[in-house]
Amino acid sequence: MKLHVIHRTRYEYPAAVIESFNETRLQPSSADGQVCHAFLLKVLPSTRLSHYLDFYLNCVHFFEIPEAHTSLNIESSAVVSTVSHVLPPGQVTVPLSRLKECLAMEQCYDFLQGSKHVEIDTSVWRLAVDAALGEADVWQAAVKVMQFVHTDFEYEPAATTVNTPIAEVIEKRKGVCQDFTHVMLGMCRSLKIPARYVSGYLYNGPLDELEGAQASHAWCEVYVPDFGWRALDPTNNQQADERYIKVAAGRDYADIVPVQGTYRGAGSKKMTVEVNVTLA
Amino acid sequence: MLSRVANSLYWLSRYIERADNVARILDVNLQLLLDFRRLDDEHLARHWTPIVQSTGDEEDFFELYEEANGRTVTEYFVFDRKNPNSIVSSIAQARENARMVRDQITIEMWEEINRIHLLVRSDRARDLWQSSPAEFFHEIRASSCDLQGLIDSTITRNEGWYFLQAGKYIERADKTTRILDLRHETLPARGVPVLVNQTDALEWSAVLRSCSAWDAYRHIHGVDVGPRRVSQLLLLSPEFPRSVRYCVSELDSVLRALSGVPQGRFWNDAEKKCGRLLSELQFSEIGDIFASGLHDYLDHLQLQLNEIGEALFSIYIYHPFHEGFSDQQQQQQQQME
Repeated sequence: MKLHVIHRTRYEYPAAVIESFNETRLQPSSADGQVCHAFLLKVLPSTRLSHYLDFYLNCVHFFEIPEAHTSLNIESSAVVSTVSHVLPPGQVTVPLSRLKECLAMEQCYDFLQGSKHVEIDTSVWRLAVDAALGEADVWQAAVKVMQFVHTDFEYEPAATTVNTPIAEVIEKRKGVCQDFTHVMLGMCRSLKIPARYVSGYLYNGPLDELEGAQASHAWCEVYVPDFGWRALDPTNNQQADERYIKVAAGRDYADIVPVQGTYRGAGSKKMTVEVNVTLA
Repeated sequence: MLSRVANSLYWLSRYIERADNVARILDVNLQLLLDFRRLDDEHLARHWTPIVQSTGDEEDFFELYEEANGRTVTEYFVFDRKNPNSIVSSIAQARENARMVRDQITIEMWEEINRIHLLVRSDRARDLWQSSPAEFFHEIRASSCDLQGLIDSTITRNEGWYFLQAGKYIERADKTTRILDLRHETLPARGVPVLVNQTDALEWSAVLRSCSAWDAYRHIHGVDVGPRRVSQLLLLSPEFPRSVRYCVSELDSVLRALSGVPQGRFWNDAEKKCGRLLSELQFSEIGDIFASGLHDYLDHLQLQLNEIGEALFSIYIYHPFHEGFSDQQQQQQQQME
């Protein structure tokens, strides 16, 4: 599937601010069959963009705007070809006992630990053990966890903020895909299944048939020995197929924040975000 | 890169270049004495006073010494720690700056800076100085060449490198104007002197040698040395690597490399001032400069270079107190099918 993504972020400040330093993780990855054919990042006020690959090999663009400005516009535009990598629903993979070997693997170690937004405590662990009760297969256990999160949690946009900890989400049983993903990460890691946070976009039909606004999306990838990283979306209770565009992966949201930065200046700011995913 | 680091690299490089230039000026002027027919006090004072004036240290100098002669001037410029621009002080400052950014420079550079620093402070330096000033100056110049070569061949081309280059070229351009100013008293206030006598020619060739420009000059103009051509080479030559125009042109490239702004445009004050000065040098003829007075023009150049240095400082290094940093608001990922 060839898709075109436009992601606009606009900050407005009540008074001029200075020395704005920002990092963006907006460039779709080119790996595992997905190809990012074109990527263009526009920043206003205009400035020089630099980029580097971070620890998890996500492409990070960064820039600074030292002079005074009252608004900041960041627009990314990408053309991406995606492929579907789904496993058959009943796929039998490897037993949970083989997960021991993951702890010694460099690419898994980080994704078995607690992280900033995913604190692993007994309440998460209890949820996980209950959800995967009686399951001996790694993949099936992960799918059970996904189904549990999907059915037990209610999708409600205003219920949480970008920094809500998972303990609060578990208590309220409400949240958005970011929270769903964090809960699922916590549960999988409690079961010793390596799990990482994936940020990206989801194409869900032509614009005129859409309900509500589009935004960036988040889902999980779990590591199944011999099968590699496999994507599961707890928000929509499905594997990520060719409608999903992967941008970045990390331990949790804090590793892949699409736009983050600091500036000098006071006052409350206003942020507007607009995402469009269309067929290219 | 931290502003503090940029500042240290910039000054490290400036002080190395400064020590080098002071050594050249003194070396050449000591040698020049050999060519003089008469060496009475009046002549000597007329020879040494401009050197003190050229660095802008005249007041400080006469507070410390009664008269300008070979002994006092060389003492003041070589060993006097009360003079912040003396060779010993410059090297100490270069070392102090290098020490602060020890992790940003290479071991080879650090060892050389340390070596020359310890040497000029030692008794051996005094002995060397007593027995042969020429050898002493050669040691300083060779060390500076070593350091420039080490910077060139061991430092990664990152932002730090550009600050090292900026310091070098600003200092070099400034020192070239000051060396050229040494003989301004022998010139009329406006216009070019008609006749150049033998003593004048010797002194102007000393100016050339102070800038290591003797060979470059001879290739272009032969052995006929006069103020007009010397000034032309040291101010306006686009090819000679110690000419003011060459240094300003390199400085301009460095500033652009730092900010990423293309030629012909500017983003900050330093680029604006540097670009302006470069255009002025590119579109000037030596006749125009002499018509309005060489000394005044050199003053003007020094002023411009100082302003570029100050602008560089206020853009990249100086941070006035502001309210603290705020975090940019982060967006929640909340797509729903």
